[in-house]
Amino acid sequence: MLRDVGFYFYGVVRAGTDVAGLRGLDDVEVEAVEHGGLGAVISSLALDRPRGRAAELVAHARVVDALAAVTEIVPAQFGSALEHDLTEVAAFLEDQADQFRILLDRLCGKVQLTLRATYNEEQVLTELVQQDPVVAELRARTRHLPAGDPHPELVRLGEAVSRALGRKRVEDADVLLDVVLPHVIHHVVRPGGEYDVVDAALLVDRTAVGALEEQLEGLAESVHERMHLRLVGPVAPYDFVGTSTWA
Amino acid sequence: MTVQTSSRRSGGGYLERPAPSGLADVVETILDKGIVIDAYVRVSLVGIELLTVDARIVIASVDTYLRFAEASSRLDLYDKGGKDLTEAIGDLQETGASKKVGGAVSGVKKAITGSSRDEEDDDEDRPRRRPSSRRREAARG
Repeated sequence: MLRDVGFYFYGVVRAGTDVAGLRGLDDVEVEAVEHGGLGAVISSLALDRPRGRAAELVAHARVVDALAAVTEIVPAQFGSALEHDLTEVAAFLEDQADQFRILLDRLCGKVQLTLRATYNEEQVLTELVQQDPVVAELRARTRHLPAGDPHPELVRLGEAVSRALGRKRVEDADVLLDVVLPHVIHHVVRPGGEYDVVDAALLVDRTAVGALEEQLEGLAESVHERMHLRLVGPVAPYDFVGTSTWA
Repeated sequence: MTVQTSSRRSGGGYLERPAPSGLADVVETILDKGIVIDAYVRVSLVGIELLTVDARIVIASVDTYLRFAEASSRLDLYDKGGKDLTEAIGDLQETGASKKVGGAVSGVKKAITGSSRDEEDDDEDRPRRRPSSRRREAARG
């Protein structure tokens, strides 16, 4: 019976971090197993339970983000389950103690926010037609073609739009990031959607979040005809702990 | 303990500030992120294939181009004037509508007047690396 129980692993905090009252996967109470000044945040888990889905993902995020809201945490990848007993939890904390301390020091007082700017589709396409002679010409030439006809000229038009959009995106992303980055310690630009100008994870000092929000509110207003800005967070620094295997 | 510690802004309202706990945002924020300690940990609890299908694949296919072409063809050009980003931010500075943004505007101008030619070579490949809008819609829904 006992052998079927493992631990779900949320991340690493400093020893002494208060995890009381937090509930994790399967609504099980969260604990911190401490060793050498560090704590592994875990909750017990039936190892033969069904695989995780959306509810488990949300539970994981809830625990990690709740801790990140008040202290620093090195998040573990979603789905990390420890099969071994708690002495092995202490062992991995000890093995990687230096790296954890470096990361925790680096993350001290910082949170992650995610910024996504998305073009107003009609607006940006209009700009492309007005500003790019190739797009304008191909558009004029293909206007008589019936919708849904995969005419080679239509493919060329789409290709030209795609290229011009790529150029515009680079320029506009630079403009946005120039406004944002003075408030940011590190940033990671992530792959965005077709009409996204930029999708970036921002590592921000806790005390600078308010100023960043104000800046972005002003920016969002000034660019609202062309694009929509969306800011998610603060959340744990998921994009700033690396994803390499620590073993 | 609550996740939602950031202050909601009441004024303005142009900046969307969703709660970070929505499923689509959680997926985008945390999937595949974080440390893995291989020797002691198995990552076996992940069963959310439905959400990750097609997550980071984009194909600049004929279909993509046809969609762009179709979207461009149906534009009603008479409705849209449209200032570019530099103008919009420049106006903001001149009218003093928001001093908060002012400080950043010199940087903005520099970015726009600087050489963007250099970047063009890279642009060709850019759309191929982007996830499809289909995935985005699914994830947001």
